[in-house]
Amino acid sequence: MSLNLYLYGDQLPDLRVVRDVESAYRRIPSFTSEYAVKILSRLELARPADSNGFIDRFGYYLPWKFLSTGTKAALLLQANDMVVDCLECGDNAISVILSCATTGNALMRYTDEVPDGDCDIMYAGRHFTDLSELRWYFEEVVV
Amino acid sequence: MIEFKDNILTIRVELEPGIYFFEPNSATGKTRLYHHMCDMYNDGEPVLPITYSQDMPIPAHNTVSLALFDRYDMYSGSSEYVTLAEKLASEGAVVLVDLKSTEPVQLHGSAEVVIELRNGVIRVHALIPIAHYTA
Repeated sequence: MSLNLYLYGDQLPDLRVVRDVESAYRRIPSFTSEYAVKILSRLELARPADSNGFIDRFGYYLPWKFLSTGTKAALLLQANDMVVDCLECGDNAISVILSCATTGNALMRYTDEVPDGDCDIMYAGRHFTDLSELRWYFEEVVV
Repeated sequence: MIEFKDNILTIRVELEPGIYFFEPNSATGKTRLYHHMCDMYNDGEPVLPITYSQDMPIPAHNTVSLALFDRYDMYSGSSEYVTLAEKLASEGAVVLVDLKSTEPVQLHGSAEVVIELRNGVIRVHALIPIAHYTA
């Protein structure tokens, strides 16, 4: 599996496009998978507590609803039956998604802030395993 | 500076009236601020929290001192919100806008601001001193 990446204007697969991530967060397949734990840790400085919520950066228990919109978008990428519009993801959430996501379908804006490191991303029919290659491709081919 | 303090949270906004955009980062405390402002709004405080997929709220107070346009990417094409933000700012409110997109929008802000979430305190302040921005 890989993260299937699409930029605005690209041809999208014939799947539901989730634009309102806040409404769709109840479709998040898992809040406790290895990927989810990594996302919670890197974006929220948080960890799962139980099936209903998480422990935030200050040690308080909060229901899942209180996760940030960017985190919800990142977690929704565990579902392969939809395209997740990352419109509301901040620059930090985009970077974490590019670094960590290895499944799902993400639609996002072009970014010139691609971090370094490994990845598992399909874009424009090409498989990228190194974010520096993706960054080069964005800069030299996409722009 | 605006400060609201209750038994749950202190909100400290170190800004003059105007329209401000948050730095385009996720998980910084904006959602927490929005939910807390909803409680304050329902309690009659002079705040106005606005988000996507809700009816335009009516200020619960004659004078709004702090407004938050959460998830503005989702309704940035709607001119009625631009009008509202400009009206609130002209009447003395600090209007905070959560926008991630880099595409131009109709709404114009004075400066980019940072939100800091600490234990029991949400602080909003300018990224660089406001005086360094030019109109």
